Amino acid sequence: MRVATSTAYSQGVTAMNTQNYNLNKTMLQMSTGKKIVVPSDDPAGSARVLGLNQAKSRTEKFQDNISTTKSSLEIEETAIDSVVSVLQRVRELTIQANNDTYDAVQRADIGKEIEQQLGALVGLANTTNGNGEYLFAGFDNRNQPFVNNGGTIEYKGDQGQQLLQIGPTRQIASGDNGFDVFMDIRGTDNGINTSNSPMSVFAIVGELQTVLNTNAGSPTAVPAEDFHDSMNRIIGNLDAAMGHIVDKQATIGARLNATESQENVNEDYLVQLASTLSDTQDLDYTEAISRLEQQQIGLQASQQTFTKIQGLSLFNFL
Amino acid sequence: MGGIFGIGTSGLLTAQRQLATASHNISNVNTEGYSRQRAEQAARKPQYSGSGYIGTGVDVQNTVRLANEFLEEQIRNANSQYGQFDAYFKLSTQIDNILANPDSGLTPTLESFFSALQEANDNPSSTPSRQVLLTEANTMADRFKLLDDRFSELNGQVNQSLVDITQDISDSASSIAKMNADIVQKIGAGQGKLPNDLIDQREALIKQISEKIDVSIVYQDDGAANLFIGSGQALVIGGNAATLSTQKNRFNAEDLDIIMSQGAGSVDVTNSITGGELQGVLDFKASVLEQSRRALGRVAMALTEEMNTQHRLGMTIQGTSAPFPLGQDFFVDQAGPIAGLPGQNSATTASLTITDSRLLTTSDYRLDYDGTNYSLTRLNDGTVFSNATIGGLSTAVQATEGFSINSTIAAGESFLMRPTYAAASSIDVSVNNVLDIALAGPVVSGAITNADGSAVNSGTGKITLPSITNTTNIPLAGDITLTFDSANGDGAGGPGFVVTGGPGGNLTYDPATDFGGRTYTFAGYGNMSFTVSGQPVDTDAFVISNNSAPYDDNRNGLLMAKLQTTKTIENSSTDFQAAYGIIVSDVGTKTHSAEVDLKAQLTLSEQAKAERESYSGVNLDEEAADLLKFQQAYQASARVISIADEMFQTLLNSVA
Repeated sequence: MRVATSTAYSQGVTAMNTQNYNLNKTMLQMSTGKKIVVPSDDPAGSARVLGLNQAKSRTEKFQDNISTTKSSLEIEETAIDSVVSVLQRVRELTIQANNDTYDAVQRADIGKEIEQQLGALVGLANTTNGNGEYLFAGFDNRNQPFVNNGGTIEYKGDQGQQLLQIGPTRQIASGDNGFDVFMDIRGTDNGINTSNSPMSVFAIVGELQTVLNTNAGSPTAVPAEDFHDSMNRIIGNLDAAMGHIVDKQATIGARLNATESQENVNEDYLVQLASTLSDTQDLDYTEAISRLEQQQIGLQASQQTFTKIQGLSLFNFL
Repeated sequence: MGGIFGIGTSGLLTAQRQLATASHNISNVNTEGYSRQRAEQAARKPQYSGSGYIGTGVDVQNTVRLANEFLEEQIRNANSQYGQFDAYFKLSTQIDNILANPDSGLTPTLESFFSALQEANDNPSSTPSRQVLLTEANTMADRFKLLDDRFSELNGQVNQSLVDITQDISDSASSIAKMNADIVQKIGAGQGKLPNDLIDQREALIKQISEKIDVSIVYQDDGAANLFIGSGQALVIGGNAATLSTQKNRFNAEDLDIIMSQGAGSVDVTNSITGGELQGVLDFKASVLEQSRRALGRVAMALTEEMNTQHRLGMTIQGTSAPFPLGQDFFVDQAGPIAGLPGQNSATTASLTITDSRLLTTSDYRLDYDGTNYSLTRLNDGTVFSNATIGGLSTAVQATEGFSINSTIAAGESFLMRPTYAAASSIDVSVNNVLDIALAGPVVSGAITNADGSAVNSGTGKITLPSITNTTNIPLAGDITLTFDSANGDGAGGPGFVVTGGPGGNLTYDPATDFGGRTYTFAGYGNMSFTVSGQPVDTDAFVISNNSAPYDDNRNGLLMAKLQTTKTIENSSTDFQAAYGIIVSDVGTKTHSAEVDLKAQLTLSEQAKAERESYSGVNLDEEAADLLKFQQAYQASARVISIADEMFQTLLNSVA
């Protein structure tokens, strides 16, 4: 078999080129830490990486949403806690004032405190978050929801409730509107014949204030009541209001729990995604380093062989 | 005695000639395409004498070139395949690099856009988070354009390559034709002896051509080589060569066709090109570049249409009080009409309008009218839609391809229709003001209230917020009230709601069985749907009204965010990101297989070369040995002459 001089040369060069190419590829992988440097390295894998990255960025966003939800639910919970304390104080004062040892002047004094407490309630119902947005206004969070119109506390918001996406298919309410919390207290008695329509918290406390100030039965009750009948009825209404608001508190707690459990689910998913992503695109350094060693040896061998063979010639002996 | 001188001289001359041939071989050791030569020697005709035929010395008969046509052809084939894969690979690597690069690919901006949308949903009344959404939308649109720009640059590169390659082929062909003439003339003058070095040079030129395009060769008896390309078009016949050149495509000036001209006649050979860089470039353009560009366009088109459809169902917070306007297009509408590209001599115009982006394919189409039938050909797979009227064709196409055709063309005309080709380059955000982003739902619902906003209903009935799927009669002309009546609410003596305002009529609702929730739809009012649950009592009522304070409402925003993972492309089988992923893996697969083919071809090509060199190449050791051999022959012949001289001297001395 003849071998042309040029063949020995060109084959040596081709071998070194190939070795260099492979070495360069390994070097690129090592410097990026990825085994997929361009999609053609692993077309299916690189499409999968894009999908996994999207899932990761979405889930991270859900985690963001969860912390937003949690912080607004916590703000709401604080406000509602205070509402409950205020109502408890109002109830204590009511029971005190219902005692016959109190005279009209003392009752009117308690009425003054009730007025303060009513103001505090309205203040709490108009709580804003860090951005100055009203918590209990439904969708209308730019306008003050509870306003005093000639002694009546009116609700100006709507019955909207904002939901946030906290999982691929899970949405959760990040708050409650003022109508649900303050304006729709069931199981109350407004003291009007046979009618038992819902009352607002403010109406209940407002009525109490009037009764205490006048030291007589409620002026709106039909049929007319005496002082103690009105007071007893109002205590019943206060209990209904507290029960309603404590229910809301429980709902918020349940939502916080659900949010936390979703947070754990998301966290697990993120860990799993990160591991799949790493399996798909990250370089196995141990394997890469041993490959690099091997390729280096290959290149060196090609280079040495090349110089040795090129040195061989009959002309050296002529 | 004279005989011995003659014989010695013939040996000297022969050895000289052979030394010259070996030297020629040695000096051409690195000449590309050189075939080693050999001076073939034979004994001279013997001379008759009484003692029989006496030898008269040696002669060089011919200087032959050691070449094998079969081995040469193997190299040409290997070259042409190598050229094809090499050109294809080099171009597709560029797209490969662009697409998945985190800095230049589409995916990161797509993710940022939808993240920003979620962020805006977290706090819909916040202007800064709306501003971020607009900025991210613009960034994403810019990324689409950037990618399309890169595709466009590559198209420029493809066209430049076509011009260069056809020029190279034409130049080589004309050189070969000249050499043909030269070789024929030399063979005639040399009485049949071949001009070896000229033939080698011609072979080298043919090999160069074969890298650019696949050629088949027929050798004529007079020594000329005729070259044919494609399906038998003659590139070189004897001393005449045709030229290859490019010409703008009749539909699209951005595309170049390959034209072959010979004298005054010319013919379009684009579709019959086989092998070589030329085919590699054309293949890349058809199967990678154009395909990716249309597929990217389809993602841009689908994103535009889907976002716009949903955005138009929402309510903005533009203005200071109700009524707040509904959302307009989020991105600039791309539904068309999109003008078709006319073939030459088309006097009329044709256009298409996107009707359903979910049905769109990634193909281009050709619209033809032969005087009887209008036909639309899907160019990816050759499927033909045909109908006697343009309206009938449009209806048929609309049902499966997602666009309608708006024009009547004259007989014999044809148009190239490209539904998705330009979408990535023309995507733009239409919303300019952050307040115009429609994150809210346009209608709200709730229990009726007293003037002071306190509750009226004493039952436990609840109503969900309504969602809409179109904007018929939205915003509402007035409130819609649902009043419960246990005696005749359903209008037929049973429990239900009496509807006043809106569509009117009755809704059947039995608290005893429906308390878990019953869903209603008002088809004529935005196809509004809502659910009533619980146990309402008589005179309890719900009211559905226009959203008068949509600040903290993100209902439409949540639906827009959901589009990220909704399967909206390719017959509703894939989402935006996955549709882009398909482009990436498609280009990746094609590039990868081109790389594999290229490596295999490199090996084959090396082998073919090694085999050819093994037969025709120069080996310096062999030549060195030959030098020694011929040198010895030369010395020996010289010795013969000196011996003849000594014999002659001996004779002279004996006489004197």
